[in-house]
Amino acid sequence: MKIKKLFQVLVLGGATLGLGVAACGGSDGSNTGGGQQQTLPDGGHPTPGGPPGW
Amino acid sequence: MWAARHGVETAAALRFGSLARRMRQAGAPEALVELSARASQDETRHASRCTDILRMRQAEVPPPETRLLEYAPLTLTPEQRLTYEVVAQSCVSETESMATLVTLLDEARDETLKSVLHELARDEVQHARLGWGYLTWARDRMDLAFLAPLLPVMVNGSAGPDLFRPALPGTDEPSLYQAGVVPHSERQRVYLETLESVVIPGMTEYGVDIAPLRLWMDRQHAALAPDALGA
Repeated sequence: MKIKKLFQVLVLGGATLGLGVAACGGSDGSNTGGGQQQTLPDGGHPTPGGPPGW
Repeated sequence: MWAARHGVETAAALRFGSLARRMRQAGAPEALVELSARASQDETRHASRCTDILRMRQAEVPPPETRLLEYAPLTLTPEQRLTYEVVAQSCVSETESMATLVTLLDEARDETLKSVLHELARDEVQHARLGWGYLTWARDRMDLAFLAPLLPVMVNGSAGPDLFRPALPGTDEPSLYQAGVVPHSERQRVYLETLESVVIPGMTEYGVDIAPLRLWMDRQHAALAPDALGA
């Protein structure tokens, strides 16, 4: 698959989800408790940014 | 690299779990809430695949991330912060991860590695779609313009501190593909192409001004240009 095709697959493919169209499959909703609230070593908030990817 | 990915996956499991809860509280469509909750489970499973690969290579398995890391500026409203976290996770990080997986799948030869990459790609498609679907819902409820000046911050954080620095010895070898790793210079190219081909047209679709992001990209292109000229 070419990277350009990801626009169609991800952006256009995802748009319908926001319209309330049911997603496939189900979920037991595990891990939705949020885990531990962020606690950095210095007790502060992480620098604004984004999570790393692959 | 697979040890770092283990950390990425365990952190993402916590983040998607939190996002599911927050989206439910915000009244988002159940499809999005369910997708985020399922993504949390997926990421835990992905971390175990990373563990399998590390053990196969007799490498050390790092401890899982236990902190719920959030990146949105504290100056934003709660609704804006949720949107920031969803966009940073799904529209940027997961979208870029899909591009990495697509690149690796084109090159992988080992059947075990291909199987793992296929499994991850099937899930990551949904994780990325979650963000774009969320924006479809959110744009009727809030002004998304606040995202424009923050996009460079997100993509810079997602890229990490080393991506647009010169390659370290041994990190730009084509043979890395067979270990499930995209060589450094190709990672740079894939990252920028994904911004150009997917993230920018996606944000434009949602009415977010992409000029600040383009400036950031121009700086990265300029920083890479001397290497390209010397190649």
